[in-house]
Amino acid sequence: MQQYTILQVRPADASKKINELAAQGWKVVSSSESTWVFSKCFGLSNTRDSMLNIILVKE
Amino acid sequence: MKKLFRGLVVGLFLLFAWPFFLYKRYGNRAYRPDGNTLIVSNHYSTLDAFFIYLLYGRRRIYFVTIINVKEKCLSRFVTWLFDCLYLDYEKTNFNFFKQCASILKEGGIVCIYPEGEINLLKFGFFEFKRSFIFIAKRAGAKILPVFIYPDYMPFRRTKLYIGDVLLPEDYGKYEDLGEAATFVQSKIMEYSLLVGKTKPPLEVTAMLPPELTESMGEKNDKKAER
Repeated sequence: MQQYTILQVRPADASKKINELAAQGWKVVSSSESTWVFSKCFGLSNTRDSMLNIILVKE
Repeated sequence: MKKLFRGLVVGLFLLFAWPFFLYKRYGNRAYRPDGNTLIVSNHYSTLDAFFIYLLYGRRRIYFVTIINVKEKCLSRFVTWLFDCLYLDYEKTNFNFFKQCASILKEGGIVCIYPEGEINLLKFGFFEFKRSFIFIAKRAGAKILPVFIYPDYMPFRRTKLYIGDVLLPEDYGKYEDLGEAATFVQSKIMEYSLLVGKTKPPLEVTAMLPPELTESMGEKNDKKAER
């Protein structure tokens, strides 16, 4: 049975990460880009960053 | 003395808030860390560390956190109580790495969240930073991958999937730190598929292939039980 998950990765690191995950048996289904607000521990620090949302499948 | 005080505070806290801190263990349930172990987990909630404490709190566990938590009284008190190691994003953190490695070499347990930020989606993963592999390699430590799926509602159980311990030779075969970090992340991603009911949020569901909602749903629940 196919099972899916999502990886959020910064565009600059995406291709390397996808290649590494492909070596572990994960395949890319689709991707989209969005802006994330990151909340650090206990919400004390917030930063924004552009992220790729990559849907991965493992069979 | 601090351990006694911590036990008292945790006991009082659980006395009033226990319905929120019920959990169920999956996977390698019998395992107990015996020292020189780096616990690596995903980070969906600020209370993840507390669940790790509930799981293995009989041993002293050092939690890695960012130094910003010292800015507020309550978070400073909590991190003091739970033996935290502080990481500063704006500095090189040589002392932090040294401290982690020496704790592990002396037979200690360190818990780290390699994503470095809380995933508010409560679904999926950020990429794992590679520094935890650097620490583990330097100390020759075992890595215990854990997947935590928190449930904020009372009387609902948080899911904790305890993975198989990764020995130094398991992750050491990857010379590149990034590849080794992806190897550990891949393990935790696989565990996330085994606990069931980790449904994607609505905005993510909209862009997923149609078969996803079937495969990610409650069908996985039976598979999770071992």
